[in-house]
Amino acid sequence: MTKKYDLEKVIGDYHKESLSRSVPNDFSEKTMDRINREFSSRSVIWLNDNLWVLIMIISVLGVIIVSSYKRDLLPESNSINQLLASIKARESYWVRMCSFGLTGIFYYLLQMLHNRLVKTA
Amino acid sequence: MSDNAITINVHKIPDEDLIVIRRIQNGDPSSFEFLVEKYKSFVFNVVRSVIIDPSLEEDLAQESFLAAFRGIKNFRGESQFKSWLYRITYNVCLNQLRKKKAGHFTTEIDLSELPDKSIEPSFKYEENELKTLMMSIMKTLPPRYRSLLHLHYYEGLRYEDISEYAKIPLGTVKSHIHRAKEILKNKLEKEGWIQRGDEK
Repeated sequence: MTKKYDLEKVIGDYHKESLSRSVPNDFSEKTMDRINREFSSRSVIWLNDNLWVLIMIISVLGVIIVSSYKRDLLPESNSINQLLASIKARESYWVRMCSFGLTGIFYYLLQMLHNRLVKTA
Repeated sequence: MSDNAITINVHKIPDEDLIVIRRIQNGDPSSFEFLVEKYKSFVFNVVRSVIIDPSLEEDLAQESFLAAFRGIKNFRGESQFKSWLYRITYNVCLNQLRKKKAGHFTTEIDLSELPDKSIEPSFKYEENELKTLMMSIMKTLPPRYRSLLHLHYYEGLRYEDISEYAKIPLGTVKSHIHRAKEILKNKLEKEGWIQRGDEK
C-alpha cells in the first residue's frame, strides 16, 4: 500500500459508509405488528392478573344489591351478629354460596402467587 | 467530523414527539408508528455501531422499539426522546452481547468482502481493504467505545451532548473516545495505513 490516510478521515469514512445503509422497507409495518400484538396481549395479561379482584368486586356488589332489595332472600344480612351466626351454622344457601365463592377466590389467589413465584425463580 | 460537530439541544424534546408520546401514554398505540418511522434509521445505526452483525440488526432494532413502547408510560419528557431511545437501544444491544457471552467480537476478517484484486482498480481495492480492516478493528473495541464513536462521528454530537445522550460523565466520554482512537491509531499504524505520529 502506498497511500497514507488521515486518522480522523478514516474513522469518519468508516462510519459514513458502514452505518448509512438503508432500513428494510417493511420494518415499520413489522414493528407495529409486534407492538399491536404486545398491546393486545398486555390487556389479556392485565385481565388475567386482576381477575380475582373483578370476581370479588362483582360478588360483593351482588351480595349488597341482593341483600338491599331482597331482604327476605338474605335475612342474615339484617345484622352482623345474625350473619356471623348464620355462617357458623351454615344455614342459608346464600351464605354457603358466598363461602364457596370466597374459597374459590382464595384458591385462585394461591395459584396466582405460586405462578408468580415460579416465573420469578 | 469532529471539527464539524454541531450543537444540538439535547434537553429540548420536539413538540411533535411530546404530543405523540402523550397520545400513546393515553392509550393510543397506533401513534407509536410516527416514532418508529422518525427514528428507525437512528435506531438501526446505533444497533449497527454496537453489534456489527447484519443478521441481528433488524431483530434488535425491533426489540429496541418494543422496549421503548413498554417503557413509554414512564417517559416524563425530561430528556429528548431520541436520547432516551438511544439508551434503550444500547442496553438491548448490550444484553444481546451478554447473551452471546462476549463483550468483544472475534477479530476474524470476512475475506469474501474483499474484491478480486485482478479486476478492481488498485485504489478501489486499497479502500476496500482499509474498510475491511477498520471493521475488524472496530469489532475488537468495547461496545461502549463503538457506540460513542458512532455518536461523535456519525451523529455529529459534541462530547457534552454525548454525555447527555449516554448519561455518562463528560470526562468518561472524552477518555473513552480518546482510548478508542488510540487503539485505532495503533492498529492502523502497525498495518501501515497511517503515518506514525499522525494524531488529531
